[in-house]
Amino acid sequence: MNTQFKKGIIEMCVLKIISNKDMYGFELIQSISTEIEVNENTIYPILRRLTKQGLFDTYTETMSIGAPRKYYKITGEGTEKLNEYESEWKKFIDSVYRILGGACNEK
Amino acid sequence: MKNNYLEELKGLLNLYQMEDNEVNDIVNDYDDMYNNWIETGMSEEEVESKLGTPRSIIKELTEGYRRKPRKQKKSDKVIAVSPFVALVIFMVLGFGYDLWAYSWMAFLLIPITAIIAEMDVKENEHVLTALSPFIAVIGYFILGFVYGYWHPGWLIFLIIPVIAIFNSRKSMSFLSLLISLSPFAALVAFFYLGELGHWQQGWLVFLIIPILGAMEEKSFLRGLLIEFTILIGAFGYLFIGYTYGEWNLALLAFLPALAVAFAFGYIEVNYNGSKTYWGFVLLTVAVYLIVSLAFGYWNLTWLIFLAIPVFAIVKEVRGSERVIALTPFLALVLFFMIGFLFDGWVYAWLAFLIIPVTAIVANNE
Repeated sequence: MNTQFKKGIIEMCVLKIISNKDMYGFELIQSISTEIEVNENTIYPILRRLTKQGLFDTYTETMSIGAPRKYYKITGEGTEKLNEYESEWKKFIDSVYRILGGACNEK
Repeated sequence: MKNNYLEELKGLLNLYQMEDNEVNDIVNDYDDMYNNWIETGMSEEEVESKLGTPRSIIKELTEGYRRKPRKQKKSDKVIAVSPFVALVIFMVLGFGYDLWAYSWMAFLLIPITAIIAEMDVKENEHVLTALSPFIAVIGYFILGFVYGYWHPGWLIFLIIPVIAIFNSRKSMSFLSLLISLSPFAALVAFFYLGELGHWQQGWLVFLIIPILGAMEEKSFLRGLLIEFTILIGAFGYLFIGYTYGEWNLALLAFLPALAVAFAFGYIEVNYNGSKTYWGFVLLTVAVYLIVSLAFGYWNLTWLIFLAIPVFAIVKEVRGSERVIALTPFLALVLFFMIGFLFDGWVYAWLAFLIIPVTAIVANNE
């Protein structure tokens, strides 16, 4: 799959997962990688970019064992962006299905 | 290991036009990832291969950023000029004062300049490791030619592994540092005692190595048992030796210590973390003694100790700096091989020219 295309989709998935629950980077990678093959070198740059764009806020939580963890939390702006992405994605995927469905019927 | 990884990453990120806080964010993220993988039970080597080397991930991390323009460094000019300065000193000392025996040392200026200029002195403590062979060579010849102390003047070469280990102290605990340095202290003490006429018993000073090593034992009782059996061995050995004059038989006094060491599984080289260092040092000392005793060539076999700084550099210095830091050791080995084996002292110093050549080639890549 085209890398840029995949990155765009992963970005949407990251927004969605964080909108359900605040997570720290490693937890997020574990969560996504059950469905899609990703590594930290893809996810962390996305997290940094979305935070810079104001779609995420971060806060640190100290742990009883180990180093403190940086949690990501979706902002209002982030939720708006996610809704926008989701509706665009739905339209896009519907069109793709229609095309593929049509192609399948011809066979 | 982690600190080196993060420092290398930071160094590479700093080559790009990126805000400081962005660089810190990325480094902090990698710090997090590193910790997280360690918490899952991975070793540092496994984590680093999972994350990828800083050089392999830097392209992805700096997508969209431009590289800072490389300034023409002053150091390039200094390196370029150093051969001429060296040649002039060589000629002046040789023709002017007939000091041919020493004047070739002027050429050592070239690699010394290259190392100081090419390796970042402030960032990289292994600069001194790379320079130590020169300090040793110069010291050795001064002791030899001027004072006639070829022996025990060669002991000055021990500063090379000692400096290498000392410069790796950040990645070692204080105790590991002491353990790793102890063989050299012991070796010096051994020769000193030997010169005083105690060759037979002097080797006991090497027991300082297992005595310090046993302090790494987590269980107090086991540690105590080891220390106790070693001391019993030493006293028993001296007692039997002096009383009956049977020094070989006296070695049996160490059987309890050996038995304990085997039982606790110490007599195997452990390649984990900072223990790697003293495992490696012990191995080197053993190889040195075996090769020296078997083949003689004491004037060459000490070169085996160079394996220690080489090991430290390979482990801790990366990229082109690693190659630059390693060349002095290669040069030193060539220098002494050509010198002693072929009596080619007149040409041997040419071996040191591989250092600036490597530095220049590595720099252009």
